[in-house]
Amino acid sequence: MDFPLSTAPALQPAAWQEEQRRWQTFYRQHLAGRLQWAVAYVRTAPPAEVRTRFTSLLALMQDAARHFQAYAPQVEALMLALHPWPVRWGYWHAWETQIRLLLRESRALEAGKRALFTAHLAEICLATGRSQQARQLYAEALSHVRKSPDILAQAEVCAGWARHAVQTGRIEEAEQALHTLRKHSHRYTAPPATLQCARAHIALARLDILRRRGRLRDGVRVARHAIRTLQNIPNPPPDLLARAWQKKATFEWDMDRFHASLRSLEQALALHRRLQDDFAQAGTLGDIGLVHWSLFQLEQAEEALRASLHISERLNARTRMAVEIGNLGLVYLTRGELPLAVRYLKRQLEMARQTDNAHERSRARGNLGIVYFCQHKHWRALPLLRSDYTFSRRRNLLHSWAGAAAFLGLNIAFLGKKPRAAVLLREAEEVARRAGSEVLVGLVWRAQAMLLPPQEAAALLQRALEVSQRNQRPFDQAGCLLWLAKYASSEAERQALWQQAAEILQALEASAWLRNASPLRPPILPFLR
Amino acid sequence: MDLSLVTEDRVQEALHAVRTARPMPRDLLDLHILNAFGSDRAARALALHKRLHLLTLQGLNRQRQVENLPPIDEVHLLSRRAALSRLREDFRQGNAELEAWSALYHRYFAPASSALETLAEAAYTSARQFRRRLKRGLHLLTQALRAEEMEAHHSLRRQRLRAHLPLPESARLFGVQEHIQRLHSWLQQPDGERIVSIEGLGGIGKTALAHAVMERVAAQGAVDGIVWVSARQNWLDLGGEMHTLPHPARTLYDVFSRLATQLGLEHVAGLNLEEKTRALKRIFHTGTYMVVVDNLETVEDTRSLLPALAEVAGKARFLLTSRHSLRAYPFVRCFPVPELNAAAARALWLDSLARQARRPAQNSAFETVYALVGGLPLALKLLAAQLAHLPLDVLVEHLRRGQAHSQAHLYTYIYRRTWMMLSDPARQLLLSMLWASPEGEDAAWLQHMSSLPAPEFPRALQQLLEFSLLDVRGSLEQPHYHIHRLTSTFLRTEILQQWTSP
Repeated sequence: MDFPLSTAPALQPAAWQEEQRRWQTFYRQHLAGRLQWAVAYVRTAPPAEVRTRFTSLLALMQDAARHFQAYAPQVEALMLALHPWPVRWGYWHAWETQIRLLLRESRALEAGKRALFTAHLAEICLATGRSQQARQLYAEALSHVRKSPDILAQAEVCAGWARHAVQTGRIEEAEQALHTLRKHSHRYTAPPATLQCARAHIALARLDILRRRGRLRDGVRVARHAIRTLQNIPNPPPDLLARAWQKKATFEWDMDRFHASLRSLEQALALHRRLQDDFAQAGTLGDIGLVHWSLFQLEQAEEALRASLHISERLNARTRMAVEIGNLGLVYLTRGELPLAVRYLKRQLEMARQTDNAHERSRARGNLGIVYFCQHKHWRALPLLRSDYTFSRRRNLLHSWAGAAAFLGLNIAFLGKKPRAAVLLREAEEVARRAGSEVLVGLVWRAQAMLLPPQEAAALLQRALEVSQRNQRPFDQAGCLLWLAKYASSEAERQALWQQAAEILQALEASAWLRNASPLRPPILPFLR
Repeated sequence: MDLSLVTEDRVQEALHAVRTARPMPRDLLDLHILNAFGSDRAARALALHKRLHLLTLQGLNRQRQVENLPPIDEVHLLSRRAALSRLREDFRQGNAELEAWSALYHRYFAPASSALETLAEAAYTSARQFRRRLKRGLHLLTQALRAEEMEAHHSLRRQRLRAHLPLPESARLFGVQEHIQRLHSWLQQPDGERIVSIEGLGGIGKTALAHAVMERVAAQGAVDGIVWVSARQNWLDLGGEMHTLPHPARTLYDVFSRLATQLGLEHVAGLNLEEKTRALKRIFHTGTYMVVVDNLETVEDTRSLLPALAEVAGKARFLLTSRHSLRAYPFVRCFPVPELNAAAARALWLDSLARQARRPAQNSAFETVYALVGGLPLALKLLAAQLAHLPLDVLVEHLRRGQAHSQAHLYTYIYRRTWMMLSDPARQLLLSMLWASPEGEDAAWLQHMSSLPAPEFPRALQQLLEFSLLDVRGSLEQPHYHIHRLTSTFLRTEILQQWTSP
């Protein structure tokens, strides 16, 4: 029998220690080589393939991280090659740990790269509901990037920071920072494509400001220009292009151009899918759901929102979850399934509190207030509607402001304070006009009609009905018809109007609104847009 | 599909439909046996007709075989004359079933069709008698179709029940039949504990046992669903690629979210724990489900998980695997996995030896080894592999040394010994396994990570397999290799122990 290996001596302590030393030396050297190989692999392999290897690459990096200083250049290179794919694929927890380690341990990381990693860390914090940390990190990223000559890093970091600043109401600060960067961008020397990308980053961040300022037409123009510019670059960056389409869709939605908005979102979704960017897909699917909801295509809306929620839950994207849960609540509210809507909106409120998201908190409060209003719980609705009104007014969120003022006005009227209610409804109309949305104006008219004497109410409702017909908004049509039935001059006309509304609601699967209602006691369908 | 809808009338309607180019009965197009043809009604209709044709031909040929007649070859039935001659032949045998199948075949499926009267005349019988045979044939065909549908239904059900089970890690298990039986019966008891815990050391086979129990549950098909939650989980994307879930199930909320997703409770996605609890409670109170929570020790809030599981249980049964004992919980029935008994350990030992091409025998060594290590499956596998390369007395001497300490030391000794018997390329490859996903990697990745040249890599891989250091998952075409957690611990603590930053 042949036993090629000597046995007993190798297990003596000294021999074993020697064995350990031999393989530790090998491991040390081999690890460096494998990190280098992995960098080359990640740079050349298709992202879809790299994704299937990600946990193995992570094991490799984690091993190297135990002795970071020995492998700092390789680990940095591998992280730079991988980034931002792990964020797109949703490996946030693991990637956050890696980024934090890199930022803490790396001595040679260039300021621009340091700033980019810090900004992406901020995005992870924001997505997972840690807005305080995100704010600090954005500030850090901004201070790092100012030391960098890299215009692209400057633009990306500054745009990220500005987006966050706008979300938290610091619009002037954001505007100033973007303006300065745009003004100085010509001083940087970089290839034309890089400069174009940098400008696109700035333009996309500016869009958030334009939206807050209610400059919708300018917004569409800027978004369209950004898309054209990016498309003209050889190998346009798909993530940036997708974001541009998505921004354009948002403005189109604001301007009631729902079908155009859907088309833009489909473009964005296709790009996100190509990138395998799960988180971005969740966001786009959520927006698609919202547009379907605006078109009263409730089934499609629910389907898209659920798909978005499903991805968000898998990724633990709590901020996005809060948004979609709230939007699902809106779908149920539209269907007249009020108890279900309350469940979802309460959950949205709870999640918005957990994630410290003031905007979603306000939205949840406002929508919950609407449900209570529809359930005739006016005292319960009052603080919620008031809080949403105050928030959207302070932030100059025109669409929300107009809606909140209309509902708050009506709610106050039901509590017997008609003069104050009239003031709020006038304010709602003025804001709706400022927002440039005919649909919104029509909705406010319907609200105003509730407080008018029958003849004037019928006339205003008729105008609101025309708006809703012109804009193909069946739910709003039903809302007008139900109240026109109340003011009808004959029983036959009343029945015909009621029947017409009932058929519309049935087609929308929203017949629940007609439970316990009659032509003389019609339900107030919410003024939702 | 409701089997009561598969009636003779409907089958006859389907047969007429083909002859008269009318649509097939809708109910029959929903049969499970047609699922392979997608949702296109035309494709399903065509497939149903082919199926009925084949069943009839099979029935006819079976009976012809009974009468020592050659099977029908449809190519030779293209002429009416030939067809009528076969029909006459069938009716001459005095076999009622053969006559029934033959009447049905020649009336509806024979390439050359004939009127009923012509067929009756050819069979030397009256039209009335022929119709009777035809009716009997229709009855037989309906029975055959129902049997097929029933089997398809069961198969689909078993497939659905297995949908969430991970791939098995071991092809064969030894000495666990009694355990499987016992655990299975515990889970079946109507008033037994709702939660059963499989407990034991790493490497004792907890997950394999839980898997085997669930396989038995799935084979019986008497439950509404089987759910499997693990701290580490994979998912398949739309393109069929395997990914590790980026957000592992670490908390009670995560575990309940995974359960809800696997049970199809989409409506609670994103909702809070109370809502999910309510939804799970509802489903577990209305249906019979089996739930496995694997590697319980990796879940952070075990203390809140166990009472929460007990709260939602209803008619569901939970099977947990854990390295820690759950004896402290009165509502949990514990099953500490015992070491293999001598007979099972011997079977495993012999199986492991049989895999070693170099030394097939060495049965006599078993008693000695078993006396020293007992029935620890992983230890036995590693030792059997060593024995292919090492004299028994040397092996025994080192085992005695290891045994003098603790069980953990025993494994260290076994691993050290195995390590020393590996070639350098195999050691290199084994160390590279630390850079593979815990779910395993394919050979291409391992070759890159080990840097072994093409001729050496397969040899090194083979050696690690021979020494039972690698487990294989996945398909035959694309195997994925991974190492046991104890092997990983050995490499980190024993081999790389003194490694410090240079």
